Amino acid sequence: MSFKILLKKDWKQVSILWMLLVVLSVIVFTVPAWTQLEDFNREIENIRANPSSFEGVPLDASNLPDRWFFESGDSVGMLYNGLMSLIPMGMVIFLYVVFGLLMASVLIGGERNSQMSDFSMSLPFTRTQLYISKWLIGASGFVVATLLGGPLLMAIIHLSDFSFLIQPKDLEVSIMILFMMLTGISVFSISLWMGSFGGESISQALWSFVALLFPIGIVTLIEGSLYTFERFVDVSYSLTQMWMESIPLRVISPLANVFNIDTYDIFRSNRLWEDFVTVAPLSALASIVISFGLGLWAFNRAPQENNGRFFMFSNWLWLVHLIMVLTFGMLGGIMLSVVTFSPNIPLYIIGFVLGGFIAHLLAKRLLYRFNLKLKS
Amino acid sequence: MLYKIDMKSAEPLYEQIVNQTKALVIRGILRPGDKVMSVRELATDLVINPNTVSKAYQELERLGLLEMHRGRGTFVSEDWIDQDSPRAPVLEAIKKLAIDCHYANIELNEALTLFETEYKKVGENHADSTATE
Amino acid sequence: MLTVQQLSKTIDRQQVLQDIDFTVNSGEIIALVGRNGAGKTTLLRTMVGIIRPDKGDVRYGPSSIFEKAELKRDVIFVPDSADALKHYTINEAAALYESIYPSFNRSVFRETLTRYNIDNKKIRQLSKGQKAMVTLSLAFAVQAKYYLLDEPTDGLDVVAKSDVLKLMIAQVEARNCSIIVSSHQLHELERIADRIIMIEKGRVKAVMSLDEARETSVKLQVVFNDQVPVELLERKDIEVINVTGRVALFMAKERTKELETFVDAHDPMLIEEIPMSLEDIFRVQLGGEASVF
Repeated sequence: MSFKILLKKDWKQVSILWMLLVVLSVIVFTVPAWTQLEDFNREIENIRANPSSFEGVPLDASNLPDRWFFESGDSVGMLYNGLMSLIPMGMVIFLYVVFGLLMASVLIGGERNSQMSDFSMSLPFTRTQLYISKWLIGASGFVVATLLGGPLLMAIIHLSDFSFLIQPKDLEVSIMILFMMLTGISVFSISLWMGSFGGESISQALWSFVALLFPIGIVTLIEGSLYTFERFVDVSYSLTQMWMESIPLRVISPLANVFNIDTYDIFRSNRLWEDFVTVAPLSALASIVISFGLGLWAFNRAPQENNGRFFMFSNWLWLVHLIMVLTFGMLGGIMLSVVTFSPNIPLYIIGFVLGGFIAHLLAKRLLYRFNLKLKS
Repeated sequence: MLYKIDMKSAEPLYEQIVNQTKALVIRGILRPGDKVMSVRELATDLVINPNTVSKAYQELERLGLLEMHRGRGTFVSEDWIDQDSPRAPVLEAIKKLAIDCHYANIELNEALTLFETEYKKVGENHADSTATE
Repeated sequence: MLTVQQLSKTIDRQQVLQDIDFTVNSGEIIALVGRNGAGKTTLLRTMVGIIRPDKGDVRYGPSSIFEKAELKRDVIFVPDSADALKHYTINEAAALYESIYPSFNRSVFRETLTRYNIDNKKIRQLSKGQKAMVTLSLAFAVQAKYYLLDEPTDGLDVVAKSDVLKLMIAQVEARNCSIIVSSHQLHELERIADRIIMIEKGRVKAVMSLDEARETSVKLQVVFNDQVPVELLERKDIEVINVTGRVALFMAKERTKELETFVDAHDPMLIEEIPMSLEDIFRVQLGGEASVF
């Protein structure tokens, strides 16, 4: 009985974004596919009209079935990529990331900005109940958006002249679409977790970016730094490469899964597909579970009196400060040291110190000042 | 409107209410059988704590000045005799008044005449209300 | 019965609350007074479970509010601005309260709206006085047992202030609920508070009724035969209000026999005790050097 009221309250806050997500999602799932199908028609017409301009195309191209144009090797250009080019993965993921961050920001950061956060905490509900309600409202948006957009997409392809592209691959496409939904939920879930790291909406958004990109970025930075010291360290294998494909990363950072998809061959190569279907959906799910758990824990523990601060757990400010200095240092070092052709250690060190110093100043400004008036 | 609360006075609020109620009855503004304001009404009217009013009413009930009738309200008693009217503070006030008169250059005759008039006036009202039994 | 037990909280290495300890009975109006920054709002927020203390507890009846969230059905905190629900219309807010609090009385709430002539608008569009009336009426319509009000009359005009106070008084009388009010309006508080809790730098300085406070401290006007003795003015335990000619007006935190003999020893012509207002008590207990921050 009473939990429903939490859902209603959170719904009121986020309803416009939620509905916008669903509407835009339907558009993003269908319109690009639609235009792509039109493009297929045009391209095939074009090839049929000028068979001699295309390598590997026989002169009686007008008698060839449409299907042929998708199955005869790279020479026929973009059509090779057939099915996958109909699936707007990049756009959907981008949309989901944006709305994931926005909804999470409204649900937690926005509350912390106003006294709504205090109001929520004074209600006869536990913090766990409050968090679950927010999570459900946000996640449901992605579920509905995908359940509407996905089938529509598949229907459009089925009903087109090119339904042969999808027919044997219905299951695979469904899994791919499901994966996109899980990624969206995962990004939202992580951003909601960051709502208890950042004490208001802007810092929450910043922390969300950090959470999404840090796992990937930090290894790149480390490897880049190691590269500078090549003389002393053996970097013949690429750390970043290994890390990017590793399962731990794909669980920690939902975007890593996306980057790992070979959009060119995924529906053609059994090996690639196997790799995808065994790792991606499960790691996305694992990511959801972990970020939900961590987010719930952080929401419970975050001290309300720190609303408005850049980072809510003041005991750990020193760690954030340290990591900022190190990462900016590495970034600075790498940037300077690549000025010369071969890795230059002195330049790296100078860059490191400069970067670290800037980070230090930035940290002092961000971490240790109060954004909202502290009332006592 | 009948009561004047003086926050600056040394007298506790509830005592002021008790004494002012007594004065109102003596002066005939409140008559036996009259219904007085409820605790809530008086507290909100004066914007003071209802417990204070409650305490005053309880004291007035103890003195026999007010009677509470369940469901109907609080009324001025039909028969009341002021038994423990404190003499000492009144006598003190008279002493203070003597000093004030000196400072205000009020002659003894003038003061005495005025006092006599007022005393008799109140006494008539009081006599009237006790005489109607 | 509400009990605050040994409540302590440190924020940013500053001890905002230190061993706060007091009880509130039903039907009581308690005033919470202290200088700005003394910890009053933090205390109220902790009492409703928004902030978790480092040490100590807040109990409603036998249970701790930090362990049983359902207890919050009977405790309402009203902050000093209607920020939380500003995007709600009055009706939406009422519907929200109704679904959260089973004891919410819709008709009582409507009655207040009609009496004060407030239409259904978005809360942020109301005037300051109307906002205060609406937020308080919503709170009181819940018919809770405990109310924690943070500066309810702050910034209101005379009429609105009076309406707010009368609403509070009527509620306490009708339902025997308890109200803890944090306010700077001492002249209001001294009329309506049963007891006063004075907070200084996060500590409870004193818990007493106005009458009790008047018994503890004293305000004297002394006319001396000769000039006002310097030793009197130099005393650390008194606060001098005014010295004119041979007359000294001052307050002492504690009325002691020692002070009495001291004054007597300096040849006073006239000693008059002046009743202290809450403002006087506040000044003598909580005023003084190095207290402004």
